[in-house]
Amino acid sequence: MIEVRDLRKSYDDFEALKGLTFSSNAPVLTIVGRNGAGKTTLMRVLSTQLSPTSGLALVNGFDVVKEANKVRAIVCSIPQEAKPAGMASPLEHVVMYLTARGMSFKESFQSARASLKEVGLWEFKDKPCDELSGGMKRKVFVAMALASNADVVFLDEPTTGLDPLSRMEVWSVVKNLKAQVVLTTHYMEEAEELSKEIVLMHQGRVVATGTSSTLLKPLEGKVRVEGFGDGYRVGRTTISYLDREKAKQLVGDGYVIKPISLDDLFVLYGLQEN
Amino acid sequence: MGYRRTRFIASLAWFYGYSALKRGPVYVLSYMVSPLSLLFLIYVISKGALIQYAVLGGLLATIVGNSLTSIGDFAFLRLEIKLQDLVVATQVNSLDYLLGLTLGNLIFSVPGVATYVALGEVYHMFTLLNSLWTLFSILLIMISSSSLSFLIASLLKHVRYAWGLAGFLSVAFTIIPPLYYPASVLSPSLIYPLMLAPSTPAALILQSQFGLWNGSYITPLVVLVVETLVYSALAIKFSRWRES
Repeated sequence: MIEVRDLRKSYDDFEALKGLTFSSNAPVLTIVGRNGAGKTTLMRVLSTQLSPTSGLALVNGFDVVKEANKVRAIVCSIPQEAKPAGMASPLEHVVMYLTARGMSFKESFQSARASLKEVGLWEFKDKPCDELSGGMKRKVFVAMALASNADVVFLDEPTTGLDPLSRMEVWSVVKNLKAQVVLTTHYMEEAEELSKEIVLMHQGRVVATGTSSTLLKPLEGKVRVEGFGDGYRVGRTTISYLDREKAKQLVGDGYVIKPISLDDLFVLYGLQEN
Repeated sequence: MGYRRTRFIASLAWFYGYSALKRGPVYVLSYMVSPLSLLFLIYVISKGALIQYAVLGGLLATIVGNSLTSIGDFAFLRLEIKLQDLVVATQVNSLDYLLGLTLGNLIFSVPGVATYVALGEVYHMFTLLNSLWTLFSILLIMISSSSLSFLIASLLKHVRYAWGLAGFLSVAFTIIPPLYYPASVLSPSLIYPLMLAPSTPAALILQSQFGLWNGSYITPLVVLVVETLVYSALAIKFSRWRES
């Protein structure tokens, strides 16, 4: 269970989180937003890596400031830019992490081996990580999350830079985690594939929360038309949302007409403020 | 210290020290080449007369050099590969993390230490008593220098500063203090400021114990113990762990 009330995080001249309030006990909660929306800051605050400036953040009822150690006992957090150390092997990484989480050596080795098998790294378990591909390196951290036995797992952009097949492999692991998963992503299809609940962030604020269908409710019955009218500007393109019937009249006029997808949330809730 | 914490420290040392030793032998050669070159130079110039200084100096320089160059590693682990962030979100504290990395550094330094112990044996330098003093001094300078490295690395905002700083401090702490030359050539007015570097009191203790310096080892011993405590405390108190 994640609960956040008026959560703020400020740096010298910059407010990264501007009073966030939401709660969720969805098995997989996805936080989406553009670069700089505050997603990583929120993840770091929730997983006790970063102190908030004010407000309240609870993980399974434990306060991330006053009960940080209790939070740490139940969470696993994989940072966005985490990379494996080149000279250590996947097995060494996972075992080290599991001992940090308090497991015995025996438990750590057993869990590490099982998770490395599950993510498809078993053959490479003793190879130095600098000999692994980008996707395999990312999977080392997925194996850590899988073996962690944590109640809440924070995954900050776990599939950024992965090829489609590797992304699907990561998704299958995420779906099978017994923990509540909180993940951030830029990929809307990832949010749709993995989670029932989405928090949309923009410039340090929560601009919308809900399921993919409730968030897309304003666009029900509409299609996306690019290059038409005075809609939203995205780069050099104008995007308008028109009723299907009206859009049918534009077919053949050279406009790009597409069905609504979760990507349109970025346009609806994010870009319009620019 | 609980078994749980000891287990993590051992595991991190294995992860950080043993993996580097096993898979990066070129780095072992890299940290050994400078002290061994100096040993060669001192041997040739002094026609062997100052070889004992070179052996003790090389032994201490290996430890201090590796501990201080780890500024780069510590900063890299924190800023580039986010290992520190990963560990902060567990029940591990900064002291356990520091001890794990220090022990890892000690493991990584074993080939260098073994080389100098072997050279010391060749020149019949070691007795049981001075061996114990050597071990004691090595442990203290490793802890104090690693603490300084951890503190400095934790305050850096960018990795690009780390390697240069590490190289600079490593040379400053191993070449300027009396590691490779007799402490007797220094006036007290020079020795005292040099004492700020833990390598200076460690060198004075060993030169005294090995009969290479007439001064008393008591003052350097007190300084080294105090520095180890102070630098460790500073590292625990002021290093950036959970970021604010």
